[in-house]
Amino acid sequence: MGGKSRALPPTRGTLIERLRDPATAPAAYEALVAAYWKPVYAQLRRRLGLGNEDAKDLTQAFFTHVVERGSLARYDRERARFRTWLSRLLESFAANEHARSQAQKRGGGTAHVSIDPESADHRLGASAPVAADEVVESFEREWRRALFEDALEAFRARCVELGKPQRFDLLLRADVTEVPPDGSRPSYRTLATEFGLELTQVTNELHAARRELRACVLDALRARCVDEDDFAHERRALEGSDREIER
Amino acid sequence: MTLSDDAIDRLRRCLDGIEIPGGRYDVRERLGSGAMGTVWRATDRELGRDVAVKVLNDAFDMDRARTQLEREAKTLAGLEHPSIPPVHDVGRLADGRVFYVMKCVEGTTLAQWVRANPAPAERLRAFLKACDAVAFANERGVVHRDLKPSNLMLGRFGEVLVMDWGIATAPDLGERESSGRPRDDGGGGAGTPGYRAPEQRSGGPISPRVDVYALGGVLAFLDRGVDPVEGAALEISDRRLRAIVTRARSEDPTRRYASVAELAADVRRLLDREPVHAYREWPWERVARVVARNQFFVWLIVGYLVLRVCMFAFSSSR
Repeated sequence: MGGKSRALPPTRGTLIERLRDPATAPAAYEALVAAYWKPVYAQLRRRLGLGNEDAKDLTQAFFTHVVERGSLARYDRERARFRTWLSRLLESFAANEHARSQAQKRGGGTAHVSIDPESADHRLGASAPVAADEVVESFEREWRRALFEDALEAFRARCVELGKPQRFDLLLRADVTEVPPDGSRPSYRTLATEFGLELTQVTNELHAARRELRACVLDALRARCVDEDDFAHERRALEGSDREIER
Repeated sequence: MTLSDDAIDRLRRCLDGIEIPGGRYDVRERLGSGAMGTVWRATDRELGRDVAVKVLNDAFDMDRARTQLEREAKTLAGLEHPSIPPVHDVGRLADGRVFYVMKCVEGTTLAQWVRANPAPAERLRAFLKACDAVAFANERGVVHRDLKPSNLMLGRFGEVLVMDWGIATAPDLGERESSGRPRDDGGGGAGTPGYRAPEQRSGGPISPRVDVYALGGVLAFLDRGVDPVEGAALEISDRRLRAIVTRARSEDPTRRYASVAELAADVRRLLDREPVHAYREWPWERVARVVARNQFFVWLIVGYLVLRVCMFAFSSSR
């Protein structure tokens, strides 16, 4: 998606601390862009009905806006989670861009908007624009999608490194691959037949795969969080354990 | 790779779920999480009933947490009481984490129940049921150490269940701890602020008076619906109840009720409008209490006197 795939660089210290320190800011900026590129891109594309290249340019412009306009300095963790804050900032940015492009269409602007065939194809292929009141929810969905996509990529790399690519394929078939609407998820027995494994091997491999994927998801999540509190909060939200804890 | 919303949901579920070897238990949903473990609802396929499965969370010190959960299971298994959930099974997941299977309690915690504003007498009766279970455990050398409204559940039939015995002292540890040596299992300082006795905070000797202190906090919560704060004044309007809570929550353990049974007895006296041991009442308070306790006879006497006055007035007017 968006044609841009960047590996998440290793992190040290919280993201917000590194972004505010001039010595570490460039690398932290790379980490921020790598972590949030996909959801921001997807959100801009859907929100404004943009084509691939326009959405990429605007995504880059958004991150420049975040850093160069000093928005990060105004982030207050007491008021909102980083992801929520970023989605609101993105919405405000998208609204401004929308107003600007409308003014240009009416002839009020001077900038030229490219309407090349490729871009038009992409626009036709893009999802329906998202209404403003659904923005936070939509951003969260895209954010989560990007998180799991990055984690799956990391998990694939780990499996290759361990010499166990079958483990990745097994997880993909068991939990990721879509099944027809009238079909059901493949049973362990079906997977054993398909992969030529014993039933116990399937359960063991899947157990290991899910455990390793979980570690990859948590790594990717940590890279997206500004500090430990943010990470703990996001982790609880992801695990669904942020409801009232009573026992 | 682009994931669909359904695929993301599936991945979230499979990351979150647990698999119990053997196929006897079909894990269905998460019921709740605490600092140490997570409780799941599962179906016991062999007996066709719902059970609760408690599993260790990923912890920094797995060995200690594993020991704690195993001890909790053994402690519970040794306490057969209607207000203590029975343990059915103990085992290990494929990843080595300990789990135990217990009765699945349907109901609400006392903390949730109080929000529905039940009558004061009803609250005290529920409290007494919890006291019975804790007193039962204390008599067998088990001290709960983490009593609080969210660990007390009200079942569907009005029964009260005492949950989460994760940091309870087992009988074989009781003697060692009463000697005053600090615990070596992470128990020192355990408990919940507001309900944790001073000796628990400082890692001192553990005795049933620790549970008396915590239950004093529960009693204060039941009156106000607010967690008590360590060292803060109690805002309880009923003087007798305030005296009971104050005595139960004395900083000095020797000034508290000697046992949960003694605390329960005083609460029962309060409920029955009898003089409570923790409070020395003034003569007029005694009169007011006696009147309140014998309302039927008092109204009978008042009615009789009114009747006599009316008869006297009637005969005088003739």
